[in-house]
Amino acid sequence: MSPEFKNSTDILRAPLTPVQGLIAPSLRWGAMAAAVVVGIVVVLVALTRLANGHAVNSGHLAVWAVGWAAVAFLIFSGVRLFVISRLFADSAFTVLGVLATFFGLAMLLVFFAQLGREAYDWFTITPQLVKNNNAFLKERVDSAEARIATELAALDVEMRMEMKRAANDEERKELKNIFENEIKPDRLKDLRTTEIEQRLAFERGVRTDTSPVGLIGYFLWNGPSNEPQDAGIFPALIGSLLVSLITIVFAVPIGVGAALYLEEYKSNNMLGRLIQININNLAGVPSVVFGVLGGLVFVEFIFKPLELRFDWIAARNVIGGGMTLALLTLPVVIVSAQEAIRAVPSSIRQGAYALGATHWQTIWRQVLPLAWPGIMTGTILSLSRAIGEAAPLVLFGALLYVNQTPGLFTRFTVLPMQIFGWADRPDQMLDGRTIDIWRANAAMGCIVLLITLLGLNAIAIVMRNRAQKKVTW
Amino acid sequence: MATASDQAAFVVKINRKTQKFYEGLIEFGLLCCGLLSIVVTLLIVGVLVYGSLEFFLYHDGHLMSASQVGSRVLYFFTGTEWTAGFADAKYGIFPLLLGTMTVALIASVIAVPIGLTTAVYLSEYAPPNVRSFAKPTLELLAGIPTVVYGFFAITVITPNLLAPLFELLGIYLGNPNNQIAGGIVVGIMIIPMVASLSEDALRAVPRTLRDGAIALGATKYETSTRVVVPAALSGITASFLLAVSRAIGETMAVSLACGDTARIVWPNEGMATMTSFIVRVAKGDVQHGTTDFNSLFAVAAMLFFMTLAMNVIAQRVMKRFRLVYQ
Repeated sequence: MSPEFKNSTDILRAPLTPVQGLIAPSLRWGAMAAAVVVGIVVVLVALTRLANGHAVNSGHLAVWAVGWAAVAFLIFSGVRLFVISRLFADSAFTVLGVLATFFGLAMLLVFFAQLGREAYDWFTITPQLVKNNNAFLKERVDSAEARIATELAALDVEMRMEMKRAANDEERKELKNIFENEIKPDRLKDLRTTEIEQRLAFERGVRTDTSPVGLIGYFLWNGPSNEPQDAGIFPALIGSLLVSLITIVFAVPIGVGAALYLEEYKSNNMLGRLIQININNLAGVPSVVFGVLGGLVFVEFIFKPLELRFDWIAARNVIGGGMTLALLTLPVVIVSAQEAIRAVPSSIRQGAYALGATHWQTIWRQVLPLAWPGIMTGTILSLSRAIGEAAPLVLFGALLYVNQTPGLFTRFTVLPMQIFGWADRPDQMLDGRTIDIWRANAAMGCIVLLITLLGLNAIAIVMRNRAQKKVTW
Repeated sequence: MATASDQAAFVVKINRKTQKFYEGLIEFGLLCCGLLSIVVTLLIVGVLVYGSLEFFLYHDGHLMSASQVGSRVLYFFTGTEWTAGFADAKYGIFPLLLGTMTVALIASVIAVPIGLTTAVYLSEYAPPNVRSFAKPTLELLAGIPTVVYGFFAITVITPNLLAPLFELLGIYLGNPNNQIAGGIVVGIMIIPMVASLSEDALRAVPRTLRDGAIALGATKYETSTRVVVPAALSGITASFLLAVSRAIGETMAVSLACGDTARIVWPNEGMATMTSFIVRVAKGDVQHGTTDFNSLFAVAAMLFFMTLAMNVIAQRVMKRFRLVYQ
């Protein structure tokens, strides 16, 4: 209750206005609380700084304290008003609710802004790095002749030194023979080989197109590289698409089958309940544990023996990874398919039975077509999860350097793994300043991942909506 | 002696039989699909137990003596040092457990109030159009890949949010790896889970309870906090438990944000969690069959049984809640 009422007779006085009864006391309370709390915090900050050996700038601290005291005053007054006024609490909670609901969205917007900034960095730094690299390659090729000349000159000097040291003319002659006929041609051959290699590297590595479109094209169509500007995402992108395809191929039929069994056949006996409880528990198992399962069962027990027999099968391949992710997404598919099947009205089933259809005919011709849009929703969810989830694939060696375009039985990497690998790499120096070029690459990877996710979801949603239009009952 | 009608009856009978056979076959196939989930669970338990046994019983492929096994098991549960990968490695799970728990604690400090407020707002306050906008937003938040959240932690939360604050306080902040940033992003990640599960629980509370409270003169806020939330408390608790178990199992974001150095420090520096240790072992060139590699199974088993216990408790709690109002 408000502090204005000291004793029971006070209530007989003229009624308090909201300002007297609610706002003024809460402002007083807020001011007091803010003073106390900010005072304590200021002392603590000063003490921690002193204890850690930093200087305390009292002027700076005072400005800071006044600023935070103002903020704290507003917050504490609000909290007090919230506590003593029922109506204010009611309307304030609406505001709090909106803030809480859109907190995540706000965070996402901040993050997307940061992604945009990193992408901008990428677009400005990469051309510079490409130009530097071009210049370096060109310089190496241009100076090749001169370098060969100096190397040979150095060899001559060495020969003369050796000849001076030699004991007699015969030895000298032999030395000269060795130098002229063996060492020199050998060295020259080596140098020529290097020159050809460098020329090839120049022809391959020089990039003329540094426009944004060209950069994106290069990024999308090339594999990883140890040079940040030459790194691309193509194998990871294809790997992600293949793995999620395999996931869908395995997870959807099995998931729908399990859901049909649970809903249409044995929903309430012991076995059905056991399966149901088990699915609920399976949905909560951490994804990395599925990775451990796949890493042992698919990699060690199934594909390792096959790898030894067939050279076109790698132990850690796309099929194994996709099956692992299928096991991971199975609970999602089953639960959403169950919901979709449950939503089909039982009159449809009874109608089919009345016309003499068997159980399976009813399911196949009536229930499944009607439940299909709902099943598609579960498929979309599992697809998103399969593309974004990377943890289980760590155990498939997806973090290592993979430069080949993956097929179904080859080693592979996926987009999240590629991003993880890039984000973990240290900074680089360029023209004397540190730049996060690997991080900018990771940001570009994130953008590609999010766009892929969005695109696949959009396709799946369009397909679902078309399926939904066909459903009429 | 067979007449035409007899023959027709015979054909029908055959058809019935094959039909019945096919129906049975299909049912069996569907049963197999259902049983696969049980097989997966058994496989997980089997793999974890197999690997853990290998970790506890063998040292780099050699069977250890009983006393060595005993000391390894004892040290695993009570030891305070985890130095897998070093010479003369020690395997005490406490540092990894501490790292995981710190992340889970910070995440729940972020996610529980925000998620619950969101749930109450969406179920009790929000007009339908706000709801129809907010729900997909939350789903969007849940659909962002976790590695992107990890990137968020090391590019935004640590350098732009935490670094200025810690600079002001004069306390060292691990950059880019620290436990606080990891906890914050995992918290943001599990907000949708807390919000949607709690909202389901709140919406399941019968309307009569709300009407009663409002008839007694309570405001909407009082109705929500004193009647609806207590009535849905078990569902809300279950949602917290499920979200925390998700936070414990979170891998990629935590590996990026917290790093993989197993040690005991304050949350302003990075500590390995159980999951990030698994990632470190799996991504490196650790030989299969070595003790370092096998320790992965013991950690994964710990992780699995912890999250399983939380899920089972959550489902128990939720079941009790359902029994009250049906």
